[in-house]
Amino acid sequence: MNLLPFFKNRLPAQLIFLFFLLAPIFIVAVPLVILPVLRVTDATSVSSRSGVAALPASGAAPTREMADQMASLRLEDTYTNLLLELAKKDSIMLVINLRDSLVNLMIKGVPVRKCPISSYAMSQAIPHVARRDSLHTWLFPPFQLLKETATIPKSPIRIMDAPKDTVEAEAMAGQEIPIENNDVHFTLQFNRNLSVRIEQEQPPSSTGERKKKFAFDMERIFAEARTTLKNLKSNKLPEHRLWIQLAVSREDAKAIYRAIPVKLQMALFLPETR
Amino acid sequence: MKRNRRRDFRPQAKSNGQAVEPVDFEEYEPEKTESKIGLALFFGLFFGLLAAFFIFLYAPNLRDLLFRLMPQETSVRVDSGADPQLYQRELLAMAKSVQAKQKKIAAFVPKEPWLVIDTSGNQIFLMQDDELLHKGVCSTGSYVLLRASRNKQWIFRTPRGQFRVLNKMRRPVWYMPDWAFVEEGRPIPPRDSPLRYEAGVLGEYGLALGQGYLIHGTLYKRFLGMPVTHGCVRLGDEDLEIVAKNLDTGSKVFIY
Repeated sequence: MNLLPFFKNRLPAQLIFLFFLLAPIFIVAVPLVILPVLRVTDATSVSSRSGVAALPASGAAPTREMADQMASLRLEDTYTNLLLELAKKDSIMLVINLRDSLVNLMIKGVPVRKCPISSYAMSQAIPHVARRDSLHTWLFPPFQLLKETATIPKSPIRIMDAPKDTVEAEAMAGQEIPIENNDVHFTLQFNRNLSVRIEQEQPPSSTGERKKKFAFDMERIFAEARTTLKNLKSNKLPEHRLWIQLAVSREDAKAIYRAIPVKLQMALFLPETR
Repeated sequence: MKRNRRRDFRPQAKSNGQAVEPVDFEEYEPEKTESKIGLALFFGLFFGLLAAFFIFLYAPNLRDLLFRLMPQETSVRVDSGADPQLYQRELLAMAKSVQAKQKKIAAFVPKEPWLVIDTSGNQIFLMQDDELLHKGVCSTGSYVLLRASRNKQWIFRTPRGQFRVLNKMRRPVWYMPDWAFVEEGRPIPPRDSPLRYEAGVLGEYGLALGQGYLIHGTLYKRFLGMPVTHGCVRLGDEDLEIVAKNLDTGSKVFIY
């Protein structure tokens, strides 16, 4: 709402209005928005400056094409190392391959489910991090799951009390088996400041599901706000959480969420940054 | 009543050069000006705090927006000090190393037929190497927690991970565990009681996966595709036949 016309031709009132409008914005935006971004981009520019040699040793230098090829190969090498590392584990592992748009569930190096990604988005901070020399150390070793939240229960447990006799057992046997039709959205929080959001590609199936999704999104926003407050209390600047958002089919999303273990490890293959 | 003269803060001319109407200081009311300043303070602070609250809530989104606006390198840096021939050799060596690792990863996929069981969709996929041989429906663990007493309870879920077929049986006989009697409201017989053995309920084949879990047939075909079992994997007759004929003792079964 533009209130300025209200104070038209009343300069002191305008100045006071602007001052009291901008002061709280400034007080909040500087430590929560501007400084964390500057910290990341400063680190990027410092590392890039230090990585470039001042003068060529000989007359010729490697071409840009060669450098691009090398960067791509290094990324692929990191990814294969990640897969080999995951293959050593007995548990179910997650592989997010953004280059081929696939999410794989893997057991002992064998891909047991390949889920095509219909669309994805990622934090704008990732290209900045990806430019850093530390990209490979960020991707390797595999990411460890710290926390997960979802709109569906992890195990759809139904509690049943044992029948007292055969008559009661027969009555219980006639009960209908509940069919799950819930929409699936979940967030996986990994170490090294990465968060992966997996959403079903289908639109909400009902108003109730839409409300549930809204509540789920709001909870995520408030959780982030709580973390920010905690950081500020301990005089720390909030760290920008890197995120990747993927859309897969509802069946795939459900299968992934139900399959992943508590101590999940995840390999990430980023798309080429050109 | 005559009022005290105060300074008029209003500009005397508009920016487009038009003269403003002369101020009549006789009609000038300081209380009104002060109340306008008070209003400005109130509205400024109100909207400022409101905006600050939203910035606080949506700070991650705003940071992302700012990252988008920040300049970033558009291409990979070239180390001008490097020898191009050495660089080329390094490139080839790395390409070879990546290829070797990719072969190693591909070798994890079993060459002989293997089975994948999807417990959330209640489906099976019979594979050989990377190819799908057969797809079918199954029934897996119901996730029912059966409570008999305070100390006795069972949860009916299918275990996940990599398994091997430990034993392939023809027309298996079911040895009924305690929960089968508790569930039916019957008294639990002794461990060696003949009441515990039931034939003809597990179909033509039984493939043991260990810890009492089997892949077997079912009498309740209408429940195929639903999570209704006590942890075993139930298949329809046709699917069971195909799976049993393709899998041998030692074949890998992956359940997720």
